[in-house]
Amino acid sequence: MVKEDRSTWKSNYFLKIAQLLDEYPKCFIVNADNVGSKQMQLIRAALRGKGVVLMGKNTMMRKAIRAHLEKNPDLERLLPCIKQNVGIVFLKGDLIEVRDILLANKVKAPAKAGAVAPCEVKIPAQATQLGPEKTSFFQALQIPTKITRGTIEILNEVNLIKEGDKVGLSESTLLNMLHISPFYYGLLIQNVYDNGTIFEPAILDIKDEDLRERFMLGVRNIAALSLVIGYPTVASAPHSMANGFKRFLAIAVGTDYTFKQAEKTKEYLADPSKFAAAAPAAAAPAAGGGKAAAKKEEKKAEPESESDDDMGFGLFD
Amino acid sequence: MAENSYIELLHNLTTNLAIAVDQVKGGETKEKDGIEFHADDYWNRLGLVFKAIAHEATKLSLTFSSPPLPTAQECESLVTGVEKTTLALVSLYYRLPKSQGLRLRKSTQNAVVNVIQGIIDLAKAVEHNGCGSSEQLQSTGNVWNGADIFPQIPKDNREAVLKLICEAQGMATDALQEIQEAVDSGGIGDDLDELLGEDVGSDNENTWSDRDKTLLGPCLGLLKASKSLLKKTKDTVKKNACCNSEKIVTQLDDLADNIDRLSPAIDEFASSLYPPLHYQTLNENGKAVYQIHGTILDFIRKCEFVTENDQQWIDFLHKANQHNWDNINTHLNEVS
Repeated sequence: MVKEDRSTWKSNYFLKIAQLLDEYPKCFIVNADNVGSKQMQLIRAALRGKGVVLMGKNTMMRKAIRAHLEKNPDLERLLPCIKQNVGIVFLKGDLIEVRDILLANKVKAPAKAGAVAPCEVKIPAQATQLGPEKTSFFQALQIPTKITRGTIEILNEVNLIKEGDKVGLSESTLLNMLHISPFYYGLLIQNVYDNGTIFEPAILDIKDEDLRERFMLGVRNIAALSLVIGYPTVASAPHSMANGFKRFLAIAVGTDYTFKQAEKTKEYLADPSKFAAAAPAAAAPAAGGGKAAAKKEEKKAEPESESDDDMGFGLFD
Repeated sequence: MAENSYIELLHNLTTNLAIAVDQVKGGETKEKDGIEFHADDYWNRLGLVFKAIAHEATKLSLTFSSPPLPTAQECESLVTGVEKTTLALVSLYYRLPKSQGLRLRKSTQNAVVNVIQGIIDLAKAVEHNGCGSSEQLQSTGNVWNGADIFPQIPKDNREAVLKLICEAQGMATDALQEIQEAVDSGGIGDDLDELLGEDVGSDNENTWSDRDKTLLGPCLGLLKASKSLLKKTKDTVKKNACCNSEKIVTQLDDLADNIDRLSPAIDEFASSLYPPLHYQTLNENGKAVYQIHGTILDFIRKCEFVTENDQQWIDFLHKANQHNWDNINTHLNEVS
């Protein structure tokens, strides 16, 4: 096949982007730092049939997007995201599926000096294969070692690099000597574009629990407001009941009057030492490590947490 | 509840909200200028409605997160809640007077449209995919996100214009960096072929000639002037502009219109610098950047918020702009 000339290529490039923008309603803006051409090939292969990776000069990508704004004005939101070493992964199907493919295609890499650490790096306590002549590297990083059978032994686990820190030359050399490649690099999703909306990738991980948590925040606000203004609602009723019970309990403790649920509290206040003696006795078999004891403990724990949930003690005191 | 009935309710909700989005996008304010506008009160109220709409999205999404489906009455009450809150949001948006600035209006409009669109997507996800789909959770997250960023959205025209300048500055810096890197690597491997995953060969078409290289110097100079212009303009607006006079608000809008033209011109110019150079295109694109620089500098000199001290950098950038453009022309005359 004869390669077309460069100018034709340029115009075809814009046509191709326009076609991709027309065809695909969703895309990821991905950062391609530290991703080599071989890894990129593997990613393209893994995405085949599910998505298309577009890399290129940012100026040209922005130009092509601007040329498409008349057709789709929502694309304007993408423009400020096309900065630094980014690419676009176009897709039609499930965002999470393609995100997972990108995550699965990360490649192990050594810690190069000057690189920003994407995660923290720890060196476990270990007997290395390094001879005593390398001790100076460990001393430079203040890592406690000793010589065991002619090799260096690292005595304790070492927190070598914190996430976000720049890797120093000493750290990089040491990790290479220990044959540790601590980093994983791949296409990192920075923004998600879905039919005109642009959002952070964290939104892809929202679960039912997050929904419930947000909802409960609202319920707690309603309950608090209801309790303060004395207007009973479904949200405040359990707390009102719990508060009422506590008042009954206080009366029972302060007077001779009693009822079944108050008896244990009264008994405790009358002789705390009785319960103090019972506590270590209960703890001893558990510490013994019997399976049955552990099960008992679990069973005991359950009703306590249940009653806490039901009554909500301490929430609005 | 009969399945069809909740689908119908949600369908009606999306239709009504889509009308609201169209109105917000295309509508004019009903608030007459001249009526006193209490900014703090307005933004406090708008913030509360943003929070309320996030709560409505949570309620709607949680109700449809797993079976059983809500009763017709429950669903209707939910939908009514969403519609009422959206109505409150739209009517509050309309209370933002034009005199507060067109850029502020546009930024507020985007924020309002974002959350309403999020609710539409949420209702559509439930309507089409049933309970608890990943699309439903994502669109709920979008509404939360749209509401949570309310404290960060611009609350006056100065902030709105600053945001725009920052975005333009980011793109201008990126364009300059890109060309600088290409120059440093001699123009080889400009990644065009990466679109198809092909290897880039090195031939005469992929590299600059020696003559081209002499032309690149002043071209980079012009791009550097763009970067400095945006930085200096941002600093001046940040330091001196305040929105207590209608004239300054209007001047900020006009400045934003000019800056809107700069970023596309920079990208056009930068992309015409890749080999093989087409001198006429380069000349046209360079002229566009040079002229926009001139327009912005002339305009900013007359702005009320510009101080005596600012005149120095305005003069300097005027000269730098002219110098680079003259150099580009000299070199272009030599090569043609």
